[in-house]
Amino acid sequence: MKATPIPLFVFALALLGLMTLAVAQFTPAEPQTHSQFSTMQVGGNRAADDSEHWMFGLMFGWCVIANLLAFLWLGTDGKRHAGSLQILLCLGGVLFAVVYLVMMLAFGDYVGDRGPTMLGYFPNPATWMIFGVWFMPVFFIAVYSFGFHRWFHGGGEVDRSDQEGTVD
Amino acid sequence: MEEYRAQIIAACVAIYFVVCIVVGIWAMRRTRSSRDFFMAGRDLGIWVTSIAIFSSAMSGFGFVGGPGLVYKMGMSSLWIVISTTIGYAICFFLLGTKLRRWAVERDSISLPDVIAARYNSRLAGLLAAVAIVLGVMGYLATQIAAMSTVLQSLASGLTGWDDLPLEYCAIFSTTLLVFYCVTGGIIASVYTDLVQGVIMMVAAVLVFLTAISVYDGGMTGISETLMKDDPGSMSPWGSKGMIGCLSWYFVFALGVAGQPHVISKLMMTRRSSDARFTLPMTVIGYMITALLWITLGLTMRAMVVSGAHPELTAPDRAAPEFLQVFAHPVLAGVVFAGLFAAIMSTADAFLNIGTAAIVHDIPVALRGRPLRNELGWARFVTGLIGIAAMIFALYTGDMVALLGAFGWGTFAAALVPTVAIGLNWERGTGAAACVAIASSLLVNFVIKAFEIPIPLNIDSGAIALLISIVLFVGVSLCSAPKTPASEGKPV
Repeated sequence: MKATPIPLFVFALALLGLMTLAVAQFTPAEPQTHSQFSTMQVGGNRAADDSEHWMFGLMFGWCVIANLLAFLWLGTDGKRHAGSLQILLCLGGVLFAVVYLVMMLAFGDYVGDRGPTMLGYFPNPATWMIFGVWFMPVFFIAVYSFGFHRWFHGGGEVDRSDQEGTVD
Repeated sequence: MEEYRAQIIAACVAIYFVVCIVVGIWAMRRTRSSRDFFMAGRDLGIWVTSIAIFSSAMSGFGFVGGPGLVYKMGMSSLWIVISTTIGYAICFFLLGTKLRRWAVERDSISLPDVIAARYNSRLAGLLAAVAIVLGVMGYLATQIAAMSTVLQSLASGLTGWDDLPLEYCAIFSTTLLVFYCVTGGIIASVYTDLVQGVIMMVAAVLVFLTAISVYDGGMTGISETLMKDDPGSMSPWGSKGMIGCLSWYFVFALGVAGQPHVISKLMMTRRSSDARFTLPMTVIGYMITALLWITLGLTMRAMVVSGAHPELTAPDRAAPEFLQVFAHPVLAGVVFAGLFAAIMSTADAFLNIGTAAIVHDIPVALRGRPLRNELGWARFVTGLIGIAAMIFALYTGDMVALLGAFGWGTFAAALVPTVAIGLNWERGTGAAACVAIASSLLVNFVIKAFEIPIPLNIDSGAIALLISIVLFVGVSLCSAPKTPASEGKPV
């Protein structure tokens, strides 16, 4: 246990700061009920509001991603061959940030002059959200599974706990 | 076949209930000690663990509330679903092998046990147990309430059972749950989770295929209809808005590593090396069941918007209405069984950890030693918690909703710093753990109880989690660490 949670502490403070800034700066748009169906809500002003704060949304999203990556990073410290694992995490982090950026660019187009367009089964930004933001972290899962014995499981301590934990 | 629809659905559900009872009786023969009752003898294989983890995370909310949220808000609630890949990755990076190792080396049979041993602090263990009991009561009561309501609506289609009181449904639901949890403890719970998880996956795939086939143009047609009606609802932020959706993503992603009913399964595996396969299998299982959440809500919204179906009376009617109107009777039967499976797999996990907190963790924290005949007490208290949760569900109204909403965020804020960070950072102190748990209870309770409005739809759990992370690290850096139990006398 030689890890340090300082990055995690810093990013958590940054996210709290951004939340406070958002609350102080933005006029909250109330959820709007659908004009015909009272059990549904519509994006309405909310979408315009979100597009107005596009840059803030990008920063906020990146800060959330940085927080999540800081937690992954905490799980790498003190591991054998941690350097190569941390390089992979950095690579994954950059990919994650790029995927989020592409989703935000697609959202900008969606609410901007180009108007809503489809990409596959869903509107363009929703496709990036589902197939990008949801599927991208599979990279970290692959790192965990394929590098399990190299980075996450090893040493006599683990083997001993396996023997002790198994019942006859 | 249509004329026997109600009977076919009831038969599918009845078969599923019988399977649960049989598993309970089978598991009873394998439960000989409190270690078996709470930790399944630390003998779970890869398949059982993976399916138990994702099925207890995907509760009745995922099968009823999830599609309802999509119907109501558009794409917003998908942020809860898509947080799972990174969430499980974080959970396994931090706890995949570590939690089991701590549990084995200190012979811990619960999460508060591990916390008490890690910080050499009975107070930290006690606070964790209290947080778990509070969260469990709310969660369990909402699951029993959901199960009773679905059972009642199912019975309403059967001649002679159409005016079955909700109380009878609640008594039946609780009896069934308590039966297999009392007899077989966590062994019954995880093996019924196996059956439940498989049913949930089959149900989700079948619903997905049906949903895209009943609407002209399939998923593309659904998206185009909804986009034409309101482009905002089909943007990634739906009606909740950007900051609100991202706060959901944050708290649900990190929160996985703090859900006791999810991470306690990591302490029960046969080998720590199983984590290598458990992670991808858990994520695949969750992604398959999430198909139901996504497609069903969108399909029903498109049906209503295009005039193919009248407006629903409430968003939560999206799943039952779809099954009644569009699904083949056998499919509806399988999905209803899947719905009960989703509810029960979460409820049984909560019943077990709640019992562990009351029978084991709180007595150990207060007396310094466990109760005599812990197994007997565990069986008795399991029944008691079930009855208390049922009464709670039936007669306390808003309080159930309050504690239900209190659950995820509280667990996340209380346990992510103390367990996920604490087991990976030796400088974390007992005082910091106590402060983090107390702050999570306080912040979440004050926001929910006084209904404090948070602008921009920011999730209160996200705020509580950020505060507890900052407090945990800050207080740890300012306080002197005690020797963990690993280096001294075990707690």
